[in-house]
Amino acid sequence: MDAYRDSINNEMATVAARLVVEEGLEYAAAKRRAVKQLGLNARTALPDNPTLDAAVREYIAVFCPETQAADLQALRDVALLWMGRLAAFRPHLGGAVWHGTATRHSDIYMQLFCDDPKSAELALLDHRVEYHPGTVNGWRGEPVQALTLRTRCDALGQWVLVHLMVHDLDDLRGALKPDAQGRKPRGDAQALRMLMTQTPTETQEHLP
Amino acid sequence: MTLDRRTVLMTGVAAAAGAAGVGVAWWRYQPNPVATDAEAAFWVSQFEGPQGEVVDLASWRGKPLLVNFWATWCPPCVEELPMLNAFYRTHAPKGWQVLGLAVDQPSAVRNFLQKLPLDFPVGMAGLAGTQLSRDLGNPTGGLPYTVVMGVAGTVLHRKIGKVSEADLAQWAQLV
Repeated sequence: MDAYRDSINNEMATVAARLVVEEGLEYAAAKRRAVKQLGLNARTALPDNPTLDAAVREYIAVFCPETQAADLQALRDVALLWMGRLAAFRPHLGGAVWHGTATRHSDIYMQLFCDDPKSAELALLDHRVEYHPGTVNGWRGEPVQALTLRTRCDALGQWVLVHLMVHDLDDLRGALKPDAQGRKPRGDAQALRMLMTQTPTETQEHLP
Repeated sequence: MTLDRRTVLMTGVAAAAGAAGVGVAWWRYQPNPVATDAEAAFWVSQFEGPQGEVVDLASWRGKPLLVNFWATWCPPCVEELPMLNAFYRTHAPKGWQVLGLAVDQPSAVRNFLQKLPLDFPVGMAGLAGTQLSRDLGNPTGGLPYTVVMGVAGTVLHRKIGKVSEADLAQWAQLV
């Protein structure tokens, strides 16, 4: 029974990984769609994120190692550019672009830690940058203001969405705690530059 | 599918930004009076150019000058730069000067100018540029901000926001 469950779990993770890489779905949406595609009972236990993460890395390594590396590089360049522009708000990059599993479908997620929560939005207003305000759940489950803007990425020849999550300065304290897989969940511009100078294999494995 | 999502998201942006910002924008983008001594301070300031050369404003005095505060990540600024460039080309023979002050990171400006070279001089104002534009009557430091200085070195006209052909035509008549 357990062996059966494991194999279903792995199969779901593999299908979901394909959806993440090829269609840019988020993990939760990809898992739900995988359940549907495999015709499983809606109450089937879903694979956890580390499992899906491993499946995503495997999928990339098998099907698109070169294009993914180029896409990732381009997105990290865009992220660095915006981190420089928003340097006053202590930007920290997270998500797939930080962890190295991003493809051209991925959005850029970064946390801003501001003294004045309104200042980031005012900076966008003052630069007449068009953005879309919203709210997301932060890592403690609290509502966090999210500002989404669209930026042109010439290297990819397409638009890329940048999501800015606006936190209080105090939130920075818990922000760098390692996650369940022992990885740093996000990093600032300097950390990103360090990451980009490493060889691709090291990037895949990624520091604790 | 992803592209759709990006497009759909941004179609609502104009409306959302408008609804959220219109009231705020109305007072934020009204020029304030020019601070006392701001003009004098302006004429003795120096900036670094894209190639590291010095842009010394003292030598610019005595001729009409259009100063444009801009940044590479301010879409309307980027849109109006070709127009300002055309203005400079047409009016430079008549004595007009144009200065672009980039309130941005120098490396970003250098990359930008490689893609879109400008005929008029550009100075790297950095973050201090925001304060300078505030002193010159731009209350929040919003971009783009354009100041027209006359032969006497005083501010003749200012505009917060994107300039239009009509603005430029009007300014050309001022001096």
